[in-house]
Amino acid sequence: MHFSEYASYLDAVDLRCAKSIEDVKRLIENVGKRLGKGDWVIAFGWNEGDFQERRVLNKQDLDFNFPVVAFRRCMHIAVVNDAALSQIDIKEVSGGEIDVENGILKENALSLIHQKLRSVLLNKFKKNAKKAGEILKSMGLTTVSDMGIDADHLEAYWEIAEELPIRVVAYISPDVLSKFSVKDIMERNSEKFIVRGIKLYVDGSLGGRTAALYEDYSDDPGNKGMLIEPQERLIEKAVKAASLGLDVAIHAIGDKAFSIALAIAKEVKKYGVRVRIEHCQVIKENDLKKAKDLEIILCIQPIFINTDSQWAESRLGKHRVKNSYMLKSLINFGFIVAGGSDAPVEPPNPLYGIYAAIYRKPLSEDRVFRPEESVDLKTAVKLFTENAAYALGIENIVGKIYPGYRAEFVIFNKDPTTVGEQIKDMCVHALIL
Amino acid sequence: MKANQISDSYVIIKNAKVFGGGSVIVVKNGRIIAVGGEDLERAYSKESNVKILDLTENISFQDL
Repeated sequence: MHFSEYASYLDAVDLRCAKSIEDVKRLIENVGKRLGKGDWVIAFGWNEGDFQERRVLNKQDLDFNFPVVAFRRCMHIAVVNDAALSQIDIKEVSGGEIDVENGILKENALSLIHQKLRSVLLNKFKKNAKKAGEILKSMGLTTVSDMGIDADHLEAYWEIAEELPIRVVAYISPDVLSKFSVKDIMERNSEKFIVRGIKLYVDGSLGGRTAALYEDYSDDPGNKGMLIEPQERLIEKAVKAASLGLDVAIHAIGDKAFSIALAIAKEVKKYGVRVRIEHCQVIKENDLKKAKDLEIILCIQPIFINTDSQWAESRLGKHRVKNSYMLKSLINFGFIVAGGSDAPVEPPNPLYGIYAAIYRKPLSEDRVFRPEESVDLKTAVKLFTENAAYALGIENIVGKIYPGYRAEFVIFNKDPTTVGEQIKDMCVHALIL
Repeated sequence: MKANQISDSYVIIKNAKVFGGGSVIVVKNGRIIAVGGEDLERAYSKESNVKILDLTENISFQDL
């Protein structure tokens, strides 16, 4: 997950329940009425697949006299209105796309918004981190990840780490290494906050049609998605980090991005670090063996089914969807597969992920998606415990209820082995931490 | 339950249905000492400074 982002957006306008563009307008207007001078409305979670209008949001929909930014559910795309655009220094950004006419910014172009809101989001993180940790703890989480933090957030963690109710394992953005040495960073690792590696982004999101595919999107001919950075530059950053002993986490959603992630992995494995590929939503069959040979850890978010099953087949087509959102196939192939949520993209509750891994359904619909990739309860739990601990490099201290391990475990109010589909509705009775 | 509250005590968690097997977990200094069956409870009950947490009783989140 992205813990700092989750904390920063705790008091943002949550658009995940919006079923129409009118809903979005109403939710934003309600908050806009109470804004202080100079404040922005920050909203997130919209998904055009949920809208009755079945189209993406644009700046005309957000025609208010206060600045608004509304991030799509994937967090790789945002819409800003004219009041916000007038405050942003619009310029070309490598690895990004800007559609000023519709107020849509994609991928690296989001950095323009993040620069503008830098101090606002950072302060929200510091203010909300403890509360966010308490919320996650109430769901039974004792350790979470924070993927791709910048130098500002790293320093913020150093300030607040002791107040965190749960452990955070972070993967830094490569440019942090131009400000801090690995030695400085590692010396400040603590029980509550650990920096483990770096995070690289190869591509965008499938929902936003920015994930890099070999073939065109089935519902958008001529579009194969986009690469955030050239492969050579990614390798350079990964090798630098790995040579300093940092693990490497690589965001790769499309099949082309996965191949590039393997090329990066091949260059860094010689340094003895762990490589994890995040999301892995579409994989070419012949890349599986290469990934296995490189001992890649595959980090999957089963809860992506919650949203993505709406449009996965239309994005990928009937044939290609068979190589997508794999789970059981990957485990049977012999990979270590770790479970996650990518929160705030999807809800962080691990029971939702376990439910989706077993039943392959969205949380509130009966639409079963690729049921052949379903796993049993024991395997699903392992994704979020033992394997997640391995992916974070803390498998020797947590992840198992076993002598010698930290006493970090959760007691549920019901027996997960007997409740069936109600597993997603179980409550944490107590958390030993 | 916070590790620092149980640092000097053995905590025996009994009547659990441990995922992976067992019904008793013994914890000390924030670490799991042993996982197993009822014989563990008998063995560790003899130690001084033992706290027993029986999951069949009505414990609440606040109790911990």
